[in-house]
Order: sequence, then C-alpha cells, then structure tokens
Amino acid sequence: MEKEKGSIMIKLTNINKEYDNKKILVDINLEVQSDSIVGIMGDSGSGKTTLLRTISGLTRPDYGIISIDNVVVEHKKIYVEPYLRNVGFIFQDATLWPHMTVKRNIEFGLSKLSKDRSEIRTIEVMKQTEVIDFASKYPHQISGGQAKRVALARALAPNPRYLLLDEPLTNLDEKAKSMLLDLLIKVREDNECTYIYVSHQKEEIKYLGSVIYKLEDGRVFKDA
Amino acid sequence: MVYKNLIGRFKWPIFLIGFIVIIYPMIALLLEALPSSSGAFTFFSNSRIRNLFFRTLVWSMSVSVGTVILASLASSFIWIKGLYKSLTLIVLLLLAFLVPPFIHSAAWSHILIDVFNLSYRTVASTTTTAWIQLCCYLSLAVGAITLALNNLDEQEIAVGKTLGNDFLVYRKVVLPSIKPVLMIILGLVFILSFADYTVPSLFAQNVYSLEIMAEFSSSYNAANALYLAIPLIFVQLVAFVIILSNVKKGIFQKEQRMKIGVSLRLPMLLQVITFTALAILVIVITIPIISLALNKGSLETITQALSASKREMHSSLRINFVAALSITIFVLPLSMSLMAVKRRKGVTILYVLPLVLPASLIGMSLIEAFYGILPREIYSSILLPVIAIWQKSLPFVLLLVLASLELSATKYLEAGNIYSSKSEVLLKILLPMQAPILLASFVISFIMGFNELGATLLVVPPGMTTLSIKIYNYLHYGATDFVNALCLVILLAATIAAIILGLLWKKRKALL
Repeated sequence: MEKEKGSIMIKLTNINKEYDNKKILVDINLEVQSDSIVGIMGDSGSGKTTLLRTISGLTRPDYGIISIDNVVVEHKKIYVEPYLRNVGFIFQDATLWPHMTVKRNIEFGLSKLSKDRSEIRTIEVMKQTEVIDFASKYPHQISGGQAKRVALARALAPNPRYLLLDEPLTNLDEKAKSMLLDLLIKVREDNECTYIYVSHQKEEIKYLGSVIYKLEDGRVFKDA
Repeated sequence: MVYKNLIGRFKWPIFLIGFIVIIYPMIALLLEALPSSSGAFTFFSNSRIRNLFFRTLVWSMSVSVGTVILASLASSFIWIKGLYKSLTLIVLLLLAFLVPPFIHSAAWSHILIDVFNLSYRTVASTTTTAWIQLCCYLSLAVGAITLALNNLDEQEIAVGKTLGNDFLVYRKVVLPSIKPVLMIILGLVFILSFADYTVPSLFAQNVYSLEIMAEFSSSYNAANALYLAIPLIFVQLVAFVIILSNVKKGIFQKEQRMKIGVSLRLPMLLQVITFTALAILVIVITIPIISLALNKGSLETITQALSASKREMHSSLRINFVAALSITIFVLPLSMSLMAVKRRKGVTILYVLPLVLPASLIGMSLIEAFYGILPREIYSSILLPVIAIWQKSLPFVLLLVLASLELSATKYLEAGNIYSSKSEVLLKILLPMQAPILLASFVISFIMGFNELGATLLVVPPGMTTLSIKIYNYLHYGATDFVNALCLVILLAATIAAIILGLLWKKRKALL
C-alpha cells in the first residue's frame, strides 16, 4: 500500500490488557501518522513494553482493535502474525541469536528473497548501520553498542514501514548512546520509516524530534 | 576462588580417597594388562570380533540418533503446549529413567509374546533389542531436551517472530539454540547403549560389551578382556569428549533467561508428528507399569516372591544404602575440590572416566585392584559391591553437583565469607543451598544401585546375591509371575524415588 505523508497508518482503538488481574493497558486509543516519530514515555511497569508487543502481535490484547495500513490486524478472531505486520522490533537487549554470526542474524528476515537479492540487501543494510566490518563475528565477540547496531540492521533488513523501539539505549555508555541516536535519525531519513520509540528518558525522545505521549497506569495521554 | 578458600588443604585427602576408589582400580587393571601382550592384537587379527564391534557401533549410533530425534519431537510438543510445568510429567519421565533396563525387557517380552502371540524367536531380534534400549533412554532424553527448551531466551524467539514465520523460527532459532543439549544426549545415550549388554543378552543378541564379559568369564584373564575393550573405550572417549565440549554451552548458562510468554505454532504436519512422538513416549512410560501390573499374578505370588527374595532384597538395600549415603557425603567435598583446582577439566575427566567403561571391565578392575591386598574378611563384606556402585554412580552424580555449583551464584558465598567463618559459610549457606541436589544424589545413587548388574556380578561375595542379579538370572529362563512381582517392587521403589526427585527439582529451581 502506498503511504501518504501525514495519513494515519497505525490505529489502536480501545486496547485493553490485563495480567494476573492487574490492568496493564486501559482503553488505549492511539493514532500514528506515517513518517512520524512517536515517543512514548512512562515509568517502569507503566505498560510501555506491553503496548509495543501488542502492536507487533507478540502479545494479544484482551480486547480492542489494531489496524496497520488500514488493515485490521487484531480484532477478536482476526490475528495477523507478527512477521506479516510490516513492523521491526528492537528490544532493550540486542537479543542477537548467539549461534549465528552478525551477517546471519541480519539475513534471517530475508528468507523469502532469492539468495542474491538477500545478499545485496544484507550488505546494503550492514553498510547503512556501519556493522559490515564485523559481519563474520559472533554476538559475544562484539561490544554492546555494536550489538545494538546489529539489532537495528536486523530489524531494518526486511524494509519494515514501522520500527518499534523499546528503550534501545539501555545499558549503553554516553558515547554509544549518542552514536545510536544519530544513526537512528540517519536511517529513518534513508528508509522513510515510522518510529514508535519507548523510553523513560524525555531527552532521548526530544532529540529524535518526536510527538510525545505519556503512559500512566495503563492510560495514554498526549504530553503537554 | 571462593571454593579454594572454603576447601583449603582438605582437597588433597579428598582427592586421595577419590583416587583410591575411582582411579586406582583402572590403573591396576592397566598394570596387569601391560606385561601380557598376547591378546593385544585380537581385535585386528579376528574378523569376527571386528565385525561385531562395527555392528555394535552402528547399532548404538542408531539407538542414540533415534532416541534424540524422537525425544526432540516429543519435547517440542511438550514445550509448545506448556506441559512441562506439570509435576506429574516430571515424575513420569524420572520414573521411566529410573526403571532398570531389564524391567523394560521383561515388560516388552510380555506384551510381544503374551499379548501379540509372537514367538521368542521372532521377538529376539536386533530391532526389538534396539527398540527396548531406546525405551530405556527416551525419557531421560525428553526430560533434558524439554528443560533446554524451557530455558530458552523467549525474547530471541520473539524477535524471530517479527521477522519470519513460526516454522522458520523453530528451524533456525529454537533447534540450533538447543543443539549443545542434543549433542550431550546423543553422546550419553550412545555411551549407555554401547556399554550395555543386559538388554541384548536377554534377546539372544551378541554385542561387543558382552564379548568382553565372555572373554573374562571363559579365561579369567583380565588383560585379554582389557585389550579387547580398548576399541570400545576409545569410541566411548570420543563420545565423552563430544559431551564435555557441549556441556559448557548447553548447561552452564548463567545469565538470566527472559520469560515473556511467547508461543509458537508449527505447521499441521509437524504438529501431528510431534503429537505422535509424545504418544510413543506415553506408551514407553506406561508399558512397563501396565505389563507388570497385569502379569504380576495374585497378591499371594507377590508375597511369595518377596518372601523368597528376602535375603537378596536385604543385601541390595544394605549395599545401595551404604553406597548412596557414602557417595552423598563425599560428592560435595570432591566437587568443591575440583572447583578449586586450576586444571579442573582434566582432573574431572579422571574422576568421571568410569562412565565410559563397560560395567564388566569395572568389575575386573576392582578384582585386580583389591583382591590379595585387603584382609580376607573384607571380601565377604559389602565393600566391593559398594565400590562398584561408587564407580557407576559417582561420575554421574559428580557431574550433577558440579553443574549445580557452576550454576549457583558465588556472590552468596562471597558475601558469607565477609561476615562469617568458613565452617559457618559451609553449614549455613552452601549446604542448605545445595541440599536438594545432594538429596537427589542420594536417591539417584540408591536407585542406580538396583540397576547395577555387570560390575556387582563379578565382585559380590560368595553366598550373597543382589536383587538385580536374581531377576536377571530368572529372566534368562523366561519372565515368570515371580520375576514380575519382584520387578513391580523395584518399580514401586523407583516411583517413590521419582516423586521425591520431582519435588526436589521444584525446590532446587526455587533456590537457583
């Protein structure tokens, strides 16, 4: 589907989720416009991660509707698998598969492409994210900052329209943090990707120049 | 460092005791064999022996590969459906593992001969024997693989799900992640199957370990038997190295694994295959119980069998209890001593070496090491059968306790070291933390004592017989009500042990 700048591409309607009788998400209504950066702030346990997991399809809400690119991907019996939602996900930990090299990690999401096209795309995204120098290394042989860049490359490889970032700067030193933030900005310009960025650090979100929402007790508010 | 501080100089006497009981008998056998080189080239000069060796090798490889494939499929079903949380499942898996191989043999004989009306000649085949060996090890494999799957970092799976379908994630993330454990199980089942002659001999199948036993029985020449065993030991060592090289990757994972509740849905065909594998597992677990329960005869038969086997049962209980208790007392100091030395891997290999030896060779090594040295009264005591159980059980239990020490955070002991004396750290921190695994060591050693046959057969004092020797002898005349009743008693003991181990497992998890 062709995306028009400024049109609503991800829409959450009345999303609710409970764990062990505790309400995590309460009547969440959120609209994300294409090519935008949406920042979601909140304290630990406020439901930020659950919200991203619900959008990606890793967690199913108790009720509510999610549509992506005007297609309902979650509603009662409708459930579209995560890999078919056109979203990339970057977790707090890089979560690279330890038995695969950096290159193999990145190639994983390209299994539908031919070998040649997969190779071209892998090299392209490795150059873009500056990980090509250690493509043949294993996750335990690279630094935390490098691992986060590989996670970004892996998420970007299938060319997703939406990138969900769950506190991606966790456990990085200041230098690595600013490098990754700059890389995120550069990559977004090159890929025309929509970001939903979750963090409890307002500075990070502001740096990316995003629309800021606050998540408190499972409810979402637009930040003043 | 922390274990070095705790054990201090005590590690040397502990190593010495371990050396006398575990390592010295092997050296004694080697010293006996070296001057006599008459049988050294039997393997190369005798084509029948060579053929038998390669036939057994292929046989054991088939059993181990078959076990791992079937167990992987059944475990996948258990893991995906979340059945591993059930204590009942853990108990049933442990139960099937604790049931001695000859009970599996007796049970399947009944099913095939009495229920399906097959003749003994038809039943006594390579396929049946390989299948029964697979039954003996399947539950152990399923237990280990299910635990490995349960230990996966679910976030790694979640990332995969955002990039590819569930089947791709299963093939490229899940299975490769548990590869070290699959290799460990492959090696372990191979070692157990390659050294076992009890099941094949009950079905009139000749295997290489039986040939070693026959060589010793016919000539009482331990040197010839050892020379014959060298190719077997070599292959077993290769399998053992494969196990050890995968242990660190497969078991010693210290970092916190992420549990976020991700599930996989496999393609329909694979779902059917994995369910079928689970159904086979259920059959394997229940067949011994059902078969023995149906064929045990009347209550009177059980009473008669128990009363006629009073002496054997008494000897077995006494030997197993003393062996299990002494192993439990010794295994923690030995593990701590091993943790305290620099070349831990190399020294550990020496202490777990009996794992790769056929039981008959262990019996021979004990005869060579201790006969003629110890006072005569010792030979009529239970000492040598107890040492035989040490040789068979201690390596297994030692690996478990070492793994447990590796997995336990040393920060608790270090924190204790700051505030308390060594003895207080040992008694108030280490011992309570390791108590479940030590209790498990006792139960495992006790039950493995019932399974031990090949070594005790050679060193049991005159006039004394253990329960397993009696049952094994009776099985050669065909499984009777009498034998079934005795097997049922062992099964009952194994059930109690499995329940205790299941509860200890839960407790151990809570302490980690």
